[in-house]
Amino acid sequence: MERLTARDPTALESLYDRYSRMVYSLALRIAGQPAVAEEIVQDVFLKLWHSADRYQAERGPLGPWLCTLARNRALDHLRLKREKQRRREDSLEDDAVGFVATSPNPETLAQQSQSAVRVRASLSELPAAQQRAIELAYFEGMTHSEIAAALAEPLGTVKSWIRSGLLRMRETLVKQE
Amino acid sequence: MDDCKQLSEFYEAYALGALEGPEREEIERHLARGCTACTVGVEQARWLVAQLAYLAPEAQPPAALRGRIVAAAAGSEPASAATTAGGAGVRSIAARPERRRQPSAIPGWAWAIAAALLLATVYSVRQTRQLDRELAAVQRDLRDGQAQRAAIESEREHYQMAMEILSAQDTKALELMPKKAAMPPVQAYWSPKMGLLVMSANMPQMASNMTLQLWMVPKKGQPMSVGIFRPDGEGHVMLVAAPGEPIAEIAALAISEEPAGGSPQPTSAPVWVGPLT
Repeated sequence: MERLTARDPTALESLYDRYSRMVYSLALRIAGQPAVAEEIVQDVFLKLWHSADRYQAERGPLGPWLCTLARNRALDHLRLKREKQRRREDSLEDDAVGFVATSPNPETLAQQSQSAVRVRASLSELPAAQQRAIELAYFEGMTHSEIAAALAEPLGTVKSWIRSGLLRMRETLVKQE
Repeated sequence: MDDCKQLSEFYEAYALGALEGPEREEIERHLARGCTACTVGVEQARWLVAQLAYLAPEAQPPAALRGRIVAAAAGSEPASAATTAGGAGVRSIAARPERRRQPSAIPGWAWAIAAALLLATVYSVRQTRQLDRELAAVQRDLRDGQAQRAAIESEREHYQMAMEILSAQDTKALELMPKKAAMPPVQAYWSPKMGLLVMSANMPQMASNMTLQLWMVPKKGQPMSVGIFRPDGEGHVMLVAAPGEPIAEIAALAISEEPAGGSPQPTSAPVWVGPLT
């Protein structure tokens, strides 16, 4: 980070090589379109380049920080797209090019980092409805009441699913560390 | 603290962005006034939520993206498709056998006007590009300036709080002694009204995947996290925390080395301990 603050472009290249795949994967999963995901990756790394001195090392590792930036940008895009669709009342528009996320197969899992495997395993231990509620909140940016409406479940049930599911995931992840 | 205990059940939903209504506003109020319990609780919840990024199916960004980003960061545009095509076009025209010139039906003055317009267009395009480059540089400088101002402002607030703690009448000073050789002692200043200041110098540098975490060790119960911090490039550390637990209920302050992002509970023996006698 010191090299990046000193405007050393090779530092940006190193950080890009290390984190771009993670940031791109997340942006693509949320935004659903490769071109938008590329734009988000570019925004995130340029923000890092221009605001390196604002990144506080005390906040933890850089990867999750970059992913938080990417998630916020991707959710902004998603909300804007939904708003446009609502206005046009044309649900068919350009959805055909959308990226459909699929569950990773065992072969892919084997290639992924240990962290990814651990987080996925901790989610998979939850009941399917809890998994879905957490995914809707994280990847779709939905609030408690939006998730309750989407799943046709009581609001209190959704709140409880998300909290207990995340706490259980935390317990599993902390134990494994 | 009762408020914070009630709010603690919403930390995860808040970090996830799913929380709405009065609970969300209440947490934001606590964070804005520097509530230690809520700050630490939300920080831990954010760590957990950040882990969810690993759930995204892995995808590889296109190879060209790296070059585009590095070029944009360096403030230079990559060679555009138009320029490349133009260059190739010039070469291909030059390679063609020269054709015999046909007499033109267009009068000479029209050619002169066309040439003048072409020159004006080229000049205008060049000027526009130059202005774009200058504008981008100004915007970049502006962003850098804003980032620098925000960092200075944040640092100023920290030092302001530190001065208030140091000058408060109820401040209690204590020294946290190191358990490891060659580690300097850490000074702590605790004002029940103004907050807690922890500082030291000549600290050794740490691995990037580790952090220091300050704990309040209560007379009864488990340690409570105050915050995480790391030595700066010159080995200085400073942590300022808002008022939290009543000092009478705390037996000691302790600092342990934890994985980056901090831990809900200490995962290693404390490196510094300062009993509150």
